Parts: sequence; C-alpha cells; structure tokens
Amino acid sequence: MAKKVEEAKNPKKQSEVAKAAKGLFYGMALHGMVTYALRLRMHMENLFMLITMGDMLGIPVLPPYYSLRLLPYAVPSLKTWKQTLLRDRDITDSLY
Amino acid sequence: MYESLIVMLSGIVVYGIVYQFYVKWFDRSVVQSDPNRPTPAHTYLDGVEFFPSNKYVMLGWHWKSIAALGPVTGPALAIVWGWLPGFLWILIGNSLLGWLHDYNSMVSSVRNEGASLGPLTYQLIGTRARKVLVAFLAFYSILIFSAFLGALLPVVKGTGAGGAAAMVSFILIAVIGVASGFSIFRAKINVVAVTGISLAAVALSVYLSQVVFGSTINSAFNSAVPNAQLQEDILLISMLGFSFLGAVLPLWSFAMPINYLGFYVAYFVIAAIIGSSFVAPQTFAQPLFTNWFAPVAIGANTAGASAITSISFPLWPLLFVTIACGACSGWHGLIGSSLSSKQLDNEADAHFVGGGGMLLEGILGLTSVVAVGIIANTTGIGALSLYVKGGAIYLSNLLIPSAASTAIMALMVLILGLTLTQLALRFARLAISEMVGARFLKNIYVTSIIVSIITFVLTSSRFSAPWGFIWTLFGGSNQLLAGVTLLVTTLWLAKIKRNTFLTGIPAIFMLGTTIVALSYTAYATLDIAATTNTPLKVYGNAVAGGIAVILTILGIVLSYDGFRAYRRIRVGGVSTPSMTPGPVLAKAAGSETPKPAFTGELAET
Repeated sequence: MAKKVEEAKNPKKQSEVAKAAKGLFYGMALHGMVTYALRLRMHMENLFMLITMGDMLGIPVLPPYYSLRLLPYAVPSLKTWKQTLLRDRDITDSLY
Repeated sequence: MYESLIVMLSGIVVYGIVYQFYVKWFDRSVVQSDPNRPTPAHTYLDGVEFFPSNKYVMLGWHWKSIAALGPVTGPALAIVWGWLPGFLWILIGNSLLGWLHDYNSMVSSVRNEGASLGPLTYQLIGTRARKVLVAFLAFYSILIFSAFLGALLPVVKGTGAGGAAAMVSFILIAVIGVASGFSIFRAKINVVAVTGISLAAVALSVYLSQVVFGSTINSAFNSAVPNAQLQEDILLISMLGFSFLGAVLPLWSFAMPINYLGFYVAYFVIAAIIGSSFVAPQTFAQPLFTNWFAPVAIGANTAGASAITSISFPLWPLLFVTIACGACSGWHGLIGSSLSSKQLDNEADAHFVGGGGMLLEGILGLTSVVAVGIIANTTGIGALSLYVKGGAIYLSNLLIPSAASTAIMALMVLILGLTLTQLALRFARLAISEMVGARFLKNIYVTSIIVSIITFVLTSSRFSAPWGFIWTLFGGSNQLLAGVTLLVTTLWLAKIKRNTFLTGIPAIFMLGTTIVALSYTAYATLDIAATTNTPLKVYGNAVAGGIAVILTILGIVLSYDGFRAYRRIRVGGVSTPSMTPGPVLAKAAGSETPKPAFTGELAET
C-alpha cells in the first residue's frame, strides 16, 4: 500500500528507474544484435544502390535507361548512401 | 575477516565518489562538454552506424562490450603477489587512469566526427604512427586469442574445476545458440519465445552434461585419451576450431546468437557473486601480500612434466600489465572510439557511458579478487580454475548445489572466453591483411588458419612459453595500447588548449611501465628459448620473445612520435589532415541534413 502511495507521489522517478533498467537490459542483451542486423541490411542496400546508381560515382553497371527508371525510388536514400560510401573507414572501425 | 564484503563495499564506495566528483568535474571543467553541440550520431545520422541512443542503452551495450574475461583473469593471476596489490591497483588505477582513458577516447572521437583510434592517431601524430598502430593491432589481436585460449585450457583440462564435460556443455550451448539464431533471423520467430525456450534448453544441457553425466564424460574422455598431452591438444584444437567457425561464418549465424545466450549465463553469475559477497561474506585465505618479487613456477602447465624452474615476477612493472581490463585497458578505447561514440545522443552522456562503464568494469574485476582470495591453496591451479573454484563457493552460498555451481562457473568462463576469441581471430585476420596487404592474405580462410597456427604454437604446452608470460605479453600490448590512447587523447586536449596534466601523467606511466614489462618478458622468454632442454619449447619461447621485442620497438616508436607531436602541437604546429569526411566532403556528398535512409522497425526499438 505504502509502495503504491509512493509510486503515485513520484510517478516520474519510477518511470525513470524503469526506463534505466529496460535500457540497460536492452543495451546488454540485444543492442549489438539489432545494430548488426541493421548494418547487414545497410550493406545489402548499399550494394543494390551501387549496382543501380553506380553512374553517379563513375561506376556504370546498369545501362542509364534502367538507372533513370529506378531513380525516383532511390532519391530518398541517395544522400545517406553517398555519405556512407565516401566515409573513409579504418581498420579500427571494424571491431564488430 | 569478511574481506569479501570489505573489498566489494570499498569498491562501490570509492567508485561512487570518483564518479560523483572527479568524473563529473573533469567532464564539466576540463573537456567542457556541451549537451547542445551536435554529436556524430546527429550530424551523420544514417540510422545504422550513426544514430542517437538512450544513455542507459549505451551504458549497457558499452559495458557488455568491454566486460569479458580480462577483468577476471588478471586479478586471479595477480594473486601471486597477495590479494592487496591487485585490489589496490584495480581501485586506484581505475579511479585515476581507467575511466579517464575510456571517457577521453569516446569524447575525443565525438568531437572529431566519430573518428576512431586509427584516424585520430593519423591526425594527431602522423602517418607513420598510424601504420605502426595497425601492425601493433595485428600482434595484439593474436595475443588476445592466445592468452585467452591458454587461460581456458586448465578449465577444460579439469585441473581444479570443469573438465571435458564443461567443453561438452559449451558445444551443446553453441548448437542451441545456432538454432536460436536461425529461429530469430531466418524463421522470424518471436525473440522472447526463442529466448525462453533456448534458456530452458541451456539449463537442461548444463544439468545433464555436467551435473548428471559430468564425471562419466570426464572419465570416458580420460580413458579414451590417456595421454595428457594428447588430451590437451584435442581440447585446444576444438577451441581453436570453434573460434575459427566464429571468425569465418556470418556473425548472425554463429557468433552472435551464441553470445546472446551466453550473456544470460555470464551476467547471472557476475550478479550472483556480487550479491553473495554481501549476503554471505567470506574471509580470505590468501595472504595480504607475499613478495615484491613473486616466484612463479614455469613449465608446470605442461601435461605430465614438472616445472622447468622458478622465475621472479617483479611487482613493478608486471602487476600493472597482469591486471589490465579491471584497471585500465586499451581494448576499451577501441570500443569507445569506434562504436559507442557514433551513437551518443549528446556529449554530456559521454561521462556516464564511458566513465561509468569503466567504473562498473572495476567492480567486475573485484569479483575476481573476492573469488580467488578465499582459495587456500593455489599451487598448480590455473588462474581461471581458481576463479571457477572461488566463484562456485559464492554461488553455493546462495543455496545453489555445489556441483551445479562449479558447472555454471566453468561454463561462464568458457562462454566469456570463447566469445572473445572468435572476435579476436576475426579482428586478427583483418589487421594482418591490412598490415601485409598481400593478395592471398585477403582470403579469410587462409588468414584465419595462419593466425590459428601461430596461436597453437604460442598456447600449446608442447611448444609454448609459460602461460604467465603469454598473459603478460597480452597485458603488455593491451596496456601499451591504453598508453597510446591516453597519449592521443592528451594530444587532442592540447590541441583544444585544455589541461593535459591529468591525462599526460597516466599516459607516461602506462607507456613507461608497459615498455619495461615487455622488455622483461622478451628477455625472460628468449632466455628460456636459449636454455631449455626441450627442443620444441625453443619455438614457442622464441616466437613469444620475438613478438615481445617487436611490440617493445613499436611501443617506443609510437611513444617517440607521440611526444614529438605533443611538442609540435604546443608550439602551434599543424596536424595531419582529417581522414574523416569533414564538413567539406560531407557537403559535397549533400549531407548537410542527412535523412536516416535505412531505419526500419528495429531502429526505433
């Protein structure tokens, strides 16, 4: 009973503790797996973009006709794709 | 009396005070972190590598990434000097050096567009330093692989605790882990359901393979392979094979799900030891202090062979490299600068994640002090076997049956160790192919086999140098990396015109101590290679001595370049251009306001 009263008095504090506990558990157990799955998908999508939009980086793979047909679908990803590819990667970035 | 309680309590109190006053003060006054300054997670937001994460998530993830077998093995080995020196080094070293190293590596990367240690070294020291660093990392990763396999060997050999049954348990867990990986990633079954079923299967397999059939498995293995040396070879090759699979198979199919399941076992044990230290405090059987020059029997780990001789382990410098991760570790700088820094929501979280994570790591190191301190006789028992034996006593104090406690402890160290060796082998092959650049070394199988052979020579007691020296080599390289990281962060602080005293002195201490420790190890191993009567041991000791000499030279070159760079920065010299995109390149790529292109449901988790 007293605990419930205390919770009602400090709802924010309680939720912060719960948030911290959930965050810690998620970070320890699953965060690595989730980011790995995302990274795997990013590499696949980067590869797809390179094949379809390679002309933009001077690597023509598909004939421009098909690239232009696909361009409207690729537009939302272009900026991040270029940024990811242009970023210089070091061996110390490859730990996981 | 009740030293376990005193050790754990003093650790929590001291680290709490350090965090509250020193960590926060340094963050506020020296680095002057600004929560409003955009971090790389925002400026380079891609929803995959760069995305802002909650600070609690980051603390959990960062801590899990830095907490492996290092913090428990080092203090167990350092018991040769008594329990007090190790305890003090974990307490004071972490408070004055360890958290500074982790925090600064993270925050310097955040301020440099998420640049990891390699590009930072290139920018702040120079081209040669970056090349030396890559070479250094190649040897470092081989030594991690070898040191941890050597540490696990006594556990699976059953000298003290564990035995082949522990290896069988681990193989069963690996099979369950692979099945759960396929269930989650391929069959898309609910993660909670898969976790529940897999953990029940893990508990059952541990119970059956170690508690019910443990002695049967061990005696069957002993009678099938009566030769002790051959037993060791089989166990070592099976661990190498496991690491090989982890290094060459896609992470999602092998290493990652096994690590995920192992997490529950490992952290249950750590929490249980900490809890038991308070609930049922123990009195230490180990002496407070033994000797400044601890005599260590070498060659005693050779199956069936007696000790070659006894050699002195001087407290300085060897204690400071023997206990690495619990007090200060270069590995953490790699994690902090290459991974955690890219996901920090704001700069003000860095002290919580980097500093707080390292102080928690110190608590993990202290669990080893309390576990090993209660063992009366440590002669002829491997460091990790001591931890298994001591930890099992704490677990049994929590009403877990004795046999099950030992089984869980043995499994826990195998999980922590073998998950790390997979990562080390994976990283070693990358570093070697980067360092050498030869085409055939780009083949992941070829490089992994070469690294495994070198590791076998370094680890097997047919060839090897005494394991204590392999651990010292690993610790030396790890601490040297920590010294280099501290040096790089000192240069960064000098560049932004901040006080460099608090990081500069630890950098000098770590570099000086580890270079002396590596030189001593080089001398000792080459001396054994020159004087041993066992022909095969010439090779192992010569390889270990050669690596020690190379690491010493690389350390001296890096230190020399680093101190020259410090002078250059102090007189206002120009540092090497950035390797990271920088604002100009980012603008050219059209990423002034990048959108998270790859965010899916998982990114919002």
